[in-house]
Amino acid sequence: MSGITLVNQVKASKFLSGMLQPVANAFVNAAGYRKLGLRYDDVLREETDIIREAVNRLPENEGYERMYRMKVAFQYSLSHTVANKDTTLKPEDDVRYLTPLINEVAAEFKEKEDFNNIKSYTK
Amino acid sequence: MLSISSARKTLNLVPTILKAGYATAVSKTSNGVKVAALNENSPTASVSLVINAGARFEPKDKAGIAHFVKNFGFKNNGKRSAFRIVRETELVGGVLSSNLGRENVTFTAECMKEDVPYFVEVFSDLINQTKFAEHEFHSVASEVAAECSLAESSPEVAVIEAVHNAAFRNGLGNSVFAAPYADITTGDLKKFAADNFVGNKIALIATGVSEDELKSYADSAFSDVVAGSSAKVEESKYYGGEVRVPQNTAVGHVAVAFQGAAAGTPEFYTAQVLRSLLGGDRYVQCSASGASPLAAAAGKISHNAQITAFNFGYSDAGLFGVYAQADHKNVTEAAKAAIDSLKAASKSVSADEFKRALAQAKFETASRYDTRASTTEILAAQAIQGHKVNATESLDALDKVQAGDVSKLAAKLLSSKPTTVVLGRTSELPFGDALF
Repeated sequence: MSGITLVNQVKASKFLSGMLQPVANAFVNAAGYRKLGLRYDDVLREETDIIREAVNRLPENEGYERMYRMKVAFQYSLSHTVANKDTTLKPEDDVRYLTPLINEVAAEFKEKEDFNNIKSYTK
Repeated sequence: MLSISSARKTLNLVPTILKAGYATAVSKTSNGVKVAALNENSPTASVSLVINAGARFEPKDKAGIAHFVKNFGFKNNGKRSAFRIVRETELVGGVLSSNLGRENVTFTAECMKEDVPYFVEVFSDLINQTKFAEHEFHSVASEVAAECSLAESSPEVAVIEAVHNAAFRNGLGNSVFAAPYADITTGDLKKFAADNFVGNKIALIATGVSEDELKSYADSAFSDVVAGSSAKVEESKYYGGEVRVPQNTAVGHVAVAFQGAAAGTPEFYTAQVLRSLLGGDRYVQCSASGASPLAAAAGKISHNAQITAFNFGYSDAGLFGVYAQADHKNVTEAAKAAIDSLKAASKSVSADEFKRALAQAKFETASRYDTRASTTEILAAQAIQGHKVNATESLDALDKVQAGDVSKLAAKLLSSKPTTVVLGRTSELPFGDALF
């Protein structure tokens, strides 16, 4: 989706991940989506073809859970509150449930684009 | 997609094949994949993946699963997306198709000769890596539903399905069309594929390619297919019975079937001759009546009456019967005339009639090698069911049939419990026992 990423190199290196993990945690806390009971993949902008298709491909129960989390978040927002310490989304629950599907759909879109702009073809 | 029908010059094919004896050997890869090919010197080739997992192998609680498997051919797999398979096929100029029978599911690619290795690779990915993805399932399910409703709108298809169902109940009695209540999930499909997409149930069949060439492609492409065990066939049992289907149709349909013979047996060839003897097909366009008893009877009843005889042969069972279509007020008479012709044949068959029937049966047998689709079907039966029958052998077998065998067979058929199917305004249609 995005451009260059060094996430795998950072994860592989104990030194780099030890240094950057606290920064990442601070960033997530500051972003605050977990305090609304949301996961990272819930706050990705939905109004793109790729993400809309990925959301369509979610298994039924995961789709319902996503919807439920969003309803809860709206409720918090309307009542100008956030979740307390117990109901805040725990870091281990912040699963990237949509990302694999996004990658799959993005690859398919790219493939389609490539085939539509094919110049010459050799097997 | 491109059509290659204009490239088919099949008329010259039969004599060459007959001269060559049409001896196709069946070889096997190390994991049991059977390979058979017929190189008939055409500019194009076809290659088919035949899986011995047709409708008869469906578990009772998963009726219709074979239909879903058929429509899941060429969908996303680990190596290529469905989109890519379609686009690449278009780029090399090929045609893909899927077909479901009671015995086999067949995936076919028709292409230029040099592209055969590519499609063999696609087939091996289909076997090993089809994803059966949830989001594809929805489109497959709607295709299945559309095909079922198309089939429903054809009374002939409904009658033949009902005949099989009443005659065999399970196994061969299973419909090739998924029932409206089919309860299939992607999990079921994955399990069905794991059980059935195994070396010993697969055959790779090609036309326009030599067998050695095909074998070498199969050896490399299918090397990581699990050998598995060959299909455990529950032996077919003939029951017989009566089915009445109420439907608002223009004409009434009556089919009466009897226990026939398995394909490739001497009795099956006798039945082929009997079928031609009873006839009913119009070989000459627009002719009012043919020479055969069924055509003559239909001509007498009304201009739109049609009576034909059918003979279905499967690996371990068969069905022989007559099928009458006519206006509701005439169809009982037509069906009775058909049964009477069969009864007459059971008493005696004149030498002249027998000669005509034999000639027609021979022509039909030989002309089955005319088209790619039926040639592939014959090769698949040879490879999977082990019928070692080629064109010359079939014709020899027909030559062995005597007039006496035909009437003996007709008598034997009449002694089995009939399967009767009527479809139309059932209140106006006869019950089976009223026809004899």
